[in-house]
Amino acid sequence: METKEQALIYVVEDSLSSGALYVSHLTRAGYQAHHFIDGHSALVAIKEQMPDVILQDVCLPDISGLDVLEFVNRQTTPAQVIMITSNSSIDVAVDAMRLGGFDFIEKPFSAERMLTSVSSALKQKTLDGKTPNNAITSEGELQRVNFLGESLAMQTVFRLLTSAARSKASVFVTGESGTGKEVCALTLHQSGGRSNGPFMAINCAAIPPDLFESEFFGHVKGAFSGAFADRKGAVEVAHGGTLFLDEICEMELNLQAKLLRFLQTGTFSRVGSSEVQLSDVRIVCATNRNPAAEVGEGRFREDLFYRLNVIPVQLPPLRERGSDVLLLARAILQEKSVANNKNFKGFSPEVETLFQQYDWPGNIRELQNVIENMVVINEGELMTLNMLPESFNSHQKQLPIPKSLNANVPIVETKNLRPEDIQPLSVVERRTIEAAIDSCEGNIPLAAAYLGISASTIYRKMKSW
Amino acid sequence: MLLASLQSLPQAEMKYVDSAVLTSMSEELGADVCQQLLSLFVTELIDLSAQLALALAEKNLTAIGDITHILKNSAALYGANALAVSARELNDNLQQAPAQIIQAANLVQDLVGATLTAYQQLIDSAAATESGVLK
Repeated sequence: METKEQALIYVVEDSLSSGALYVSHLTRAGYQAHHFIDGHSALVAIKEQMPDVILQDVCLPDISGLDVLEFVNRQTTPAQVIMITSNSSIDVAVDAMRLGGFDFIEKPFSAERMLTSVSSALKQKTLDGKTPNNAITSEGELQRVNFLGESLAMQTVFRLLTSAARSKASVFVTGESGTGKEVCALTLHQSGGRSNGPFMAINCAAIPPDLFESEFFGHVKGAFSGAFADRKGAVEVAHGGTLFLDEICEMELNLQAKLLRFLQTGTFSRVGSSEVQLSDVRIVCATNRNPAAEVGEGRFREDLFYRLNVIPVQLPPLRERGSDVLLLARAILQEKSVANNKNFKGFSPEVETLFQQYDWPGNIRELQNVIENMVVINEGELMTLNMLPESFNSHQKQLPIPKSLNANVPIVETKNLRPEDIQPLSVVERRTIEAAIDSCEGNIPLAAAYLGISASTIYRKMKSW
Repeated sequence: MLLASLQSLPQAEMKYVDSAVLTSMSEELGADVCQQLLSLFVTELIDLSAQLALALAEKNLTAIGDITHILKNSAALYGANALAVSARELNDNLQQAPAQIIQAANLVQDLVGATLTAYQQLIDSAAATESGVLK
């Protein structure tokens, strides 16, 4: 890798004056920069000499910027490609990240934003060049400590994370509670070029709205009553690393606007200060809600959603991960046994069968809790059925029947039913299931328990509707 | 020279130029580089103005989209805010009826002309001041 003074940057931008302005800022910052106004001339130059970083406009007069990106990533030592886009091509930018683009910046952008992105890209390239065995060049090299899975669903997740770790694009992790969203974010951090930087996790639901801005951007002494000293916010602490925003959908709309502003400019000011500071962070956010539905309901800003949802990662619930349940259970058992000075080596076949049949509404977190409970309370080498906690799997049998599902309150009126009023069974079934889910306030596993069927049956049926 | 010329720009032209953007550019990159870049911007505006005139004559909506795509960004970068806003508004609404696109493109064309005049005047004024100093 070349030093900053020698680093070669190509700017591929169809506007003569914009490209010249970018080159002027890059030159002044000590880089060697060249401007190309179309894709073909850039390709010729790339074939002749691969630069360290390419600032690549998506919309070009001859070929798509994505074609240039694909070409670059087919080469042995590819440049880091930063896509530059306008609002109208933001969907294309999302595709670009999936194709291995390092970052995308939205036009018009400030010189600081561009230089920060170039600097990060060069750091990533240095890491890739110095530690090829640690680089995220293949699926097997993802740092999957505590992130196990052999199921097809998880292999898809790992492939996506492998691509995501190469770039600094925002990642939006969705999945039910307990599916491992924070572990996913940490894995991403540890696998990418930012692993030496800080990993900062914030639970957006746990911060009172009044304190959010201060927690996020920091404050100066005297900014508000109780601000007895200067304090760094999460954005400043996470500089050079990863900022994980858990339960992002719980953030209030006015705070979403402030976050968006930071993401657009990469700059912020501490509360009570007018000094503008730069922070280079990679954002990974997570929610157990459906973020697109939240946008539809007006609870989440659409522009922020698109800004964050560059690489969407959907973590599957444990009930859809097949044999991963046992893989995880064995790993957790080993860990908990060591932590508690016990000698457990495995599970009896009956326990394994039960684990595989169970729906795990609390997902991996529930699995961990069940196993920890068994390890702490019991002794021996084999986990058997009698060691299972009493609460495990028993709630399905003990649930009171909600009024709306009581036999006295029929969902379909059957008295004096005329033939023309008879509805197809599939319609009645759907209506019953939907009513049950409504009665349980959207809690599908609970609705399934009341209906006497498994939650996976409901999910399967919902997919077919 | 450029900063002095900015201050002497007539009020009528000032509304097409964001002096804060140009001042910042001049401070960051130096007056000489800034003047060269402004000349490039003016050259590009002249070229785009000609292309837009042709596109309007031929009612070529695709070309209008391509031209405003470039204009909305470069105008913003060089502080031609009124032009940038107008070009962005049109470029973001290319799905509207052709007659409306043509109408909006005519407004953009007028703004390109006014912006060109203002920036050309700025460059000429800076050049004149510089040659006066040299003499």
